[in-house]
Amino acid sequence: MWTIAKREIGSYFKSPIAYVLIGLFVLLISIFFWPRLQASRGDFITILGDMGFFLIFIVPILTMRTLAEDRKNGTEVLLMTSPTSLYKIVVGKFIGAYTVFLVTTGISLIYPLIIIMMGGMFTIQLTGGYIGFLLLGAAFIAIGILASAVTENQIIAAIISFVALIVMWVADTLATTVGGIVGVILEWISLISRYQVFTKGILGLAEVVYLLSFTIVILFLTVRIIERRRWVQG
Amino acid sequence: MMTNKNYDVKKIERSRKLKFGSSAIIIMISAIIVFVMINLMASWATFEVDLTPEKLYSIGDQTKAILKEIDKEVQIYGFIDETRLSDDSYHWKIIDLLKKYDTYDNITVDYIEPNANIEFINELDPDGVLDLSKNNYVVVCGDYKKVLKYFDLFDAFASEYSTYGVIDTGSRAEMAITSAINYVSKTDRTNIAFTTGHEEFTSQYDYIAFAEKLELNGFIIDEVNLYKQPITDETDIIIIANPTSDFYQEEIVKLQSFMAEGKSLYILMDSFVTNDRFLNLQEFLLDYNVQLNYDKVKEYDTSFYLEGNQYYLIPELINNSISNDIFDGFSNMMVPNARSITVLKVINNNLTIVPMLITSDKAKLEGLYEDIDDVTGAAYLAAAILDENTGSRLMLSGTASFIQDQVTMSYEQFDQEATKYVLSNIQWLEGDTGEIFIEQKDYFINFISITTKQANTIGGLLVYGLPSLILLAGLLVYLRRRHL
Repeated sequence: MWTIAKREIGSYFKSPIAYVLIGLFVLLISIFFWPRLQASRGDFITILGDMGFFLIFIVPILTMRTLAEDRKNGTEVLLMTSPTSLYKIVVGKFIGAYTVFLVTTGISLIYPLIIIMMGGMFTIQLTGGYIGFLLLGAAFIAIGILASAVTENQIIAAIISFVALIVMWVADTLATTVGGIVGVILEWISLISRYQVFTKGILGLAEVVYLLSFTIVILFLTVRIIERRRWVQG
Repeated sequence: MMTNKNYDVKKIERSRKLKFGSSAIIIMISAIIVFVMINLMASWATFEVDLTPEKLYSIGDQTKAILKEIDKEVQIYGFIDETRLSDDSYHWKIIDLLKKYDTYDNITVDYIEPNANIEFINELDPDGVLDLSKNNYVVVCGDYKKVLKYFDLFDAFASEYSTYGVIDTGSRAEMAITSAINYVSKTDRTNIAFTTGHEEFTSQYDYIAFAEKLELNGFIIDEVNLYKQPITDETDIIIIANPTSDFYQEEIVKLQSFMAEGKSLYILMDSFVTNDRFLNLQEFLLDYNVQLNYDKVKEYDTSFYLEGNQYYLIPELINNSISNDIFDGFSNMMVPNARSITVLKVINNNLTIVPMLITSDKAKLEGLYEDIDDVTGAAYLAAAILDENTGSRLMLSGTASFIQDQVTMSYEQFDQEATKYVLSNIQWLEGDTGEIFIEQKDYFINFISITTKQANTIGGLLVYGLPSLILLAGLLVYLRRRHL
């Protein structure tokens, strides 16, 4: 599993893809951060809330090649027939993509550091927000990997995960429009509404469990989909 | 032979597809079911940590002590559809806080869409005076109810820069909710006594409907003849409504002693001619820097009087700390046959005087007696006075009949606003937070000390420098590895 993860991390940082994504992400945060600096406000938690939205555009590109590339290049067969279990392969791929996300998140700590240097405070609320962000990133990456498992075309994989993430985002807005029991279900499903609980300053067991179990279930489904294809296709 | 072999292979493939295909689907569905079950259990656990610096979603020790001691069923209704609230709705701050109240055995919280539950609303508020409209909250215990509105729950100010027209600077939600719970569930209630002996308006003849509404709001109504009876220790507020003769000196002394104990008085007086003037009462009012004028207000601004009668005024409610609660959803109040009041320009640092109602500047104050000249200009019709020394509160109103049964029945369209106005005044006289003092939670703002030049330098570096540096690293990696 770690071998696969290392190989994935290497392939990300040996190609320009990770740098482009991290650069784009940092640019977006900086654009939102600059006006705050001008207003002498150090409330980074609101930007952290927006960062969840940025992930919708970053994650599909980050994950599109994880499994689709192997399938297209024909290396999937080698992986499947290797002694490594399918679970370890998928989790290894996940760790690879998640490491890039962790590096990005690490770089984003520059902004709270600037706030502290300028006399502001690093609040415990921000810590909670970052915990939520890390969990949301994991769930998004799991969706991206699942999308990459269902097609051999990287662009289609990116589009599928982008649409899935947008649906997750819209589910939250749609919930308030529809209302009633459907609204409650949509709100319950929505990853964004779960994430917003963290950014508004609540660390809830229900949200932590939801985002963690969502990631695990999606990765599990990814394994089952590949397994099913292996047996069905022979 | 070949055909049979092909047929067998296909059969095997089909059965394998079916076998592994169906089992994979069953496993996937099972995984989703387990996922849902785990999350349902986690949501029932309701374990949450409030990480906000202001502890916005937590209740303090005083609230916990009050909630622990409550032995009656208290129901809190939020008149909202929480499934349709946007993520940035201010209601979430209330909902998340109410979850903490809901964990106590005797407290139940429910959310009701008022427009879809009109029957229930009518049952809860048959007179329609509580303003159980959308976005409000009500705390109910038996027959007692207390409504909480936006300005009760938040410290806010009107702003042209805000989408909602107001900017919140802090949350009063815990203070308001706990006070309301304490208010509706308490056993010792505020006693109001209407004075008698001067042919006043009384709760039994002229203010029947109003007195009923007071009782509904948890007040105990009584009467007192100041000349014949002492004021009981239980009396918290005395109401003098439209006396037709002046009070005796002995009665004034009783009133003065009553006020010296930090209690409250509401004087309501229409404009009418009497044989004698109210010299003793005016002398009492001198201590509070206010006077009742011997005039009758006639309006000449068409938007300030009821069509067809220039003495039936529609005054302006002055925006201040007391009227803030009334403003929310307030339209117009009709005031018939009013007299003006004067706020004296005597310096007394112990008194806080807040005018409540004002006429237009075209109003004419017609003198009731020959020695009183007519005056034209804006005039106050009501004022609230707080004596910081004793803590006593006085509400002086140049109108009394606006809540009289006869008037409210004839001009039903103004009844609700009039009741709302008087109930808010009485709530102020009562001292609306009672004995509970829970601090308002001012929103935390993470201010930083940075000059414009520094902000632009750092901002420029972050927007242009940092992303370029990362992209440059990517370019170098690409250039080094492109031939590999």
